[in-house]
Amino acid sequence: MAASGPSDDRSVPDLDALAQDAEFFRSLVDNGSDAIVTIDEHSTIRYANQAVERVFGYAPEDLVGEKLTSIMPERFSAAHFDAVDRYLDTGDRQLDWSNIELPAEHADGHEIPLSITFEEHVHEGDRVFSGIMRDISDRKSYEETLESLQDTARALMEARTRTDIGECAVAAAVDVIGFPLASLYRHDDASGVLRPVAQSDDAADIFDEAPTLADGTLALQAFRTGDPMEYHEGDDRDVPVHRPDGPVAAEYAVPLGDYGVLLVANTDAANFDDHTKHLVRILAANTEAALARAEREAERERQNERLERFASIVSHDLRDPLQSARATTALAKAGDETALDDLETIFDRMEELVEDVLTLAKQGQAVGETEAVSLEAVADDAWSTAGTDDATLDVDADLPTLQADGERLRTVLENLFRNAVEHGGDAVTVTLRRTDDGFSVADDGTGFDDVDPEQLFDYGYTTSEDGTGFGLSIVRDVVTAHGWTIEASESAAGGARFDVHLR
Amino acid sequence: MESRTHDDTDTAATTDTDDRPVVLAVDDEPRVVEAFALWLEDDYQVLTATSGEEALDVADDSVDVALLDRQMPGTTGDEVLEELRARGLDCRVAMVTGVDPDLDIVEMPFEEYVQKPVDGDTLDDVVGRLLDLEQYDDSVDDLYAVVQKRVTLEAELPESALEDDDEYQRLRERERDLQDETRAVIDDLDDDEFARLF
Repeated sequence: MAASGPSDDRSVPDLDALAQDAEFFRSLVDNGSDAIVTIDEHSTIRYANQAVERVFGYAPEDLVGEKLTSIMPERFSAAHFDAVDRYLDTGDRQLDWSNIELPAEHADGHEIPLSITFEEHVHEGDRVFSGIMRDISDRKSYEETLESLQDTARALMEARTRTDIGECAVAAAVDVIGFPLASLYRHDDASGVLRPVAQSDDAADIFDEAPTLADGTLALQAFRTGDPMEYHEGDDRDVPVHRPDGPVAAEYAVPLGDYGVLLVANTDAANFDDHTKHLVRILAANTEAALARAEREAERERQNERLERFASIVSHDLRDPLQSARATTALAKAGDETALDDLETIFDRMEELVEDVLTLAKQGQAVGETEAVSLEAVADDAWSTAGTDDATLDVDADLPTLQADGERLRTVLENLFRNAVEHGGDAVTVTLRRTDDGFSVADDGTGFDDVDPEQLFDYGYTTSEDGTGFGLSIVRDVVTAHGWTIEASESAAGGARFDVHLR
Repeated sequence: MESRTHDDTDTAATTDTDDRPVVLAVDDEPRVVEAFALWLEDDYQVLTATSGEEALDVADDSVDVALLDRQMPGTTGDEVLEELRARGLDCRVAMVTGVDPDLDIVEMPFEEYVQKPVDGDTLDDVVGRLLDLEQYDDSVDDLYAVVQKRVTLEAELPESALEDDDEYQRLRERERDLQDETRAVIDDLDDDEFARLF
């Protein structure tokens, strides 16, 4: 660069002159960061530079005069002597001489991965061989970590449930990347907070119960921005921290798309270096892919189940009324006039079945757009079709507004009301109440009697003469599709009560 | 609905003299058993029951063929079948049902699986075939039941589901054993008889 630089009067040492100066080369070799060792034809070390001390733990003067095999793992010893002999005899090289990766043995006995380049030259009439050896421990361990992460990726792809995936990811953060504190959180869309899915043992020890992470936490901010976020104790940036006075000194949060966040932390204030952060991001990307895959799998399984159910509904629940129709027709032909009236009932029932099957097909799909829906308004609509003149709907004054698909919610209420009227009689009173975590629909009918609560929501389960047995299945499907749960019990009046829990 | 025999003449007076085979039809839908009786009464004495409990009241060793619905409130057809066998009643049984057959039928002691809806001709054929079985050795009866089950399952379930299934494989094995056992009997059957049965 001297040529292009501003003219300057200092004399730049002439390189040619330097090349004549043996002291220059001695200094270059001696002080280089790579270890350099020269051996003679008998593998006796004739020279070692200063760097051997850092790499092998021996002072250079302690190595000179020793065999090269003294810094080799025992198992390579014989092969080394053979290879040198053969080379001296025939000129055949057993190994590639440039950048070959071999382990060496440190003075304390542990192995050091090296990248070695061999050179052969003649010194004062002797053939000598020099090895330039670079300690590649860091690179090796990074490569090994990457390889382990690939194993983790395979394991993640085989995990089927969100919890399995969470535990697999957390285990990798601990065992492979080396964070004692690691946890996976899923985003609860309904409440806008992060809920724990899996956490490492150390994290469990510190936090007892894994916390729900809300506003003001690093993890939630990472989730919302879609970018990894980092915190260190004493960080003067304005970074939100879950518990500023807690034991966590450093935290790194990587968002997992729409699912949640992978959070790693340490109680030491150790900084996250770029390599480590990169590893965590790789793990997070694999975890996100596994979660997406598990979700698709689960959806496909649900679809298959639904298909199977339809097949069975069509074959089973339509076969019976078809048989009745055929039988009744035969009786009518034989002169039984009342049979014709029965035929109409059978057709009504089949029509109802077809409609229920269609509803089920539609409702079974994931809920559409949800919006704030007034429970009271939807209940009024539902009652107008499902209620009867003699029946009463008693509604709480302060019914909540729900985040729901209004059409589907209406179907839920219609079916619950219809169920009450069917089993509680025309004059039934149905009460719709707000509860701590949702709402309840209760009636003063005869209750479930000896109905098996396990079977209540099953497809085609009915105790009523004219019910199709699909009403409550539809209710359950829609409730589940909203991420809610439903539970049946006996009402205070001895009738049926259904509780819909929104969380 | 009361159980009764469907016969043009007075039941009590003809029971002893009527040597037509006895068919017991069981279905929780009264219209269905009425129609079964209507379809079968020309050739058979038909007893009917509209529940599993009633079926067990009516069933005795005079019954040659029982037609059982599977899904009924209270005592199911499967339970009726078990009880009939527990009593040692040697009638031939066809399950006449809307239920899709599954591998659970392999161990059920019936001869034939008929899916609803059936018409008079089908029902007549089924009963006729089951009665034909009576004249042969028990091993032919067993072979018939096994073949029926295999064919029913093969029609209903995918090959992949059957291949890995132990029950199905046992069924195949039993069929091979019974074929060896019945070879002598079957060799005696004329072509018509054989075609009717298998």
